[in-house]
This record gives sequence, C-alpha cells and structure tokens, in this order.
Amino acid sequence: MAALAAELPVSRPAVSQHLRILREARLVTHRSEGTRHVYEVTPEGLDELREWLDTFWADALYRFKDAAEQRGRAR
Amino acid sequence: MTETLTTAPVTKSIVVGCDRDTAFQVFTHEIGTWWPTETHSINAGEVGEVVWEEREGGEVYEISATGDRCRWATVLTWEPPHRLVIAWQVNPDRLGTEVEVRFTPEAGGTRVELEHRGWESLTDSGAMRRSYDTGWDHVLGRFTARLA
Repeated sequence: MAALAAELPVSRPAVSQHLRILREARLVTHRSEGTRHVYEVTPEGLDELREWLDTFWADALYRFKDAAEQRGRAR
Repeated sequence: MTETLTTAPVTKSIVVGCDRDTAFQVFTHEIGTWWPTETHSINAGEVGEVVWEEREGGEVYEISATGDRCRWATVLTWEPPHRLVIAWQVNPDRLGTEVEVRFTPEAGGTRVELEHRGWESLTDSGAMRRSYDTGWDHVLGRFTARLA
C-alpha cells in the first residue's frame, strides 16, 4: 500500500479508503506481510477491469472519431 | 478456463472520415480535444492540458489546473502516421500494459485499430507484484469513474 500511496497524487488515508471499498466489492484481496499490506487483484477483478476497459475504449474512440472528422472538415 | 478470456487483449476497430495524417495528429497531438479528462484523468475535472511528446521515449502527461504534471504513459514506438505503442506508468523494472494503435487508409477515410494488451502479466503472481502500480492505475481509474 505504501508503494501505491507513493505513486498516486492523493493522500495515504484516501488510498486506504479506496482499497477498503475495492475489497468490499471483492475486486481485490488483502493480506499482511509483517508491516506491509499486500493487495492483489482477483480474477473477478480482472474480468471487471477488462470489461471496463472495453467500454472505455469504445466511448473514447467515438469521441476521437468526432474530433478527427471535425478537424478533417476544417482543413 | 476463463483465464484466457479474462486476459485477452482489448481490441477495437473504427473507421474515421478523414485522412490518415489528420487521424494520427488528432489522436496524439490533439488528444486533449477528445480524451474524457473530466472523468478519466488523475486530476479529474481540473485538467488544464494534455501533452503528448512526439518521439520514442516521450511521455504523455496531464497538467493540472494548478500546474502539476502527472504522467499517463511513455511512448515506446513512434511511427507517424502509421503506428504507435505506448506503455502506462513505465519503469524499466516494472511490467506494464501496452496500447498499440494502427492507422490504415481505407475507402471513406482511415481505419484506426487499437489493442490494449498485457493482461497475461497480471495473472502470474510474481509479475503481479511487479506490475502492481500499473494494474492499480486502472482499478482506481474505474473507481474514480464510478464516483464521477
């Protein structure tokens, strides 16, 4: 978790809170190794992630298409 | 079992009604005009600008309203106007997911094919730890999107 907090431009408590919600949604598992908190994405989490990415790119590419065609007409 | 499906690359294909140079230019240099930064960015709703450094090894990053620079990706392959590959959150010792985009002229415009790959690295638990932060960018991105 410390690694995550160091990478993200949000506070450590915020990361902790987000992780708790992801855990409750069973998208990640948690275990302690000494003082470290190790989180792993579950297979269900990967499925969800992939589905989310699929939808995200579909939406984003439609937006890209609009922008590109508008630009093409302006030329 | 379902593992192959789970980790198969996300692929998309779309035809845009403009020439290839324009398509490539808008996808990269003008990414700020179409990327949904209001929901899908590190400083959601407060992104001033998105910059795409147009060279191999260049970075793609957002600049927040207060001037903070947050990296999204690193350019791995830069072949305008044919093809590009970028990696999210790349460190030399860390695995990441890759996005490849190909631009091909076609009747009516340009075919744009996108492949987002690298899921297999997330299934092996050793690699899992190495790609920790990368995977998390997406999970947290999803989380942020849900909140928005």
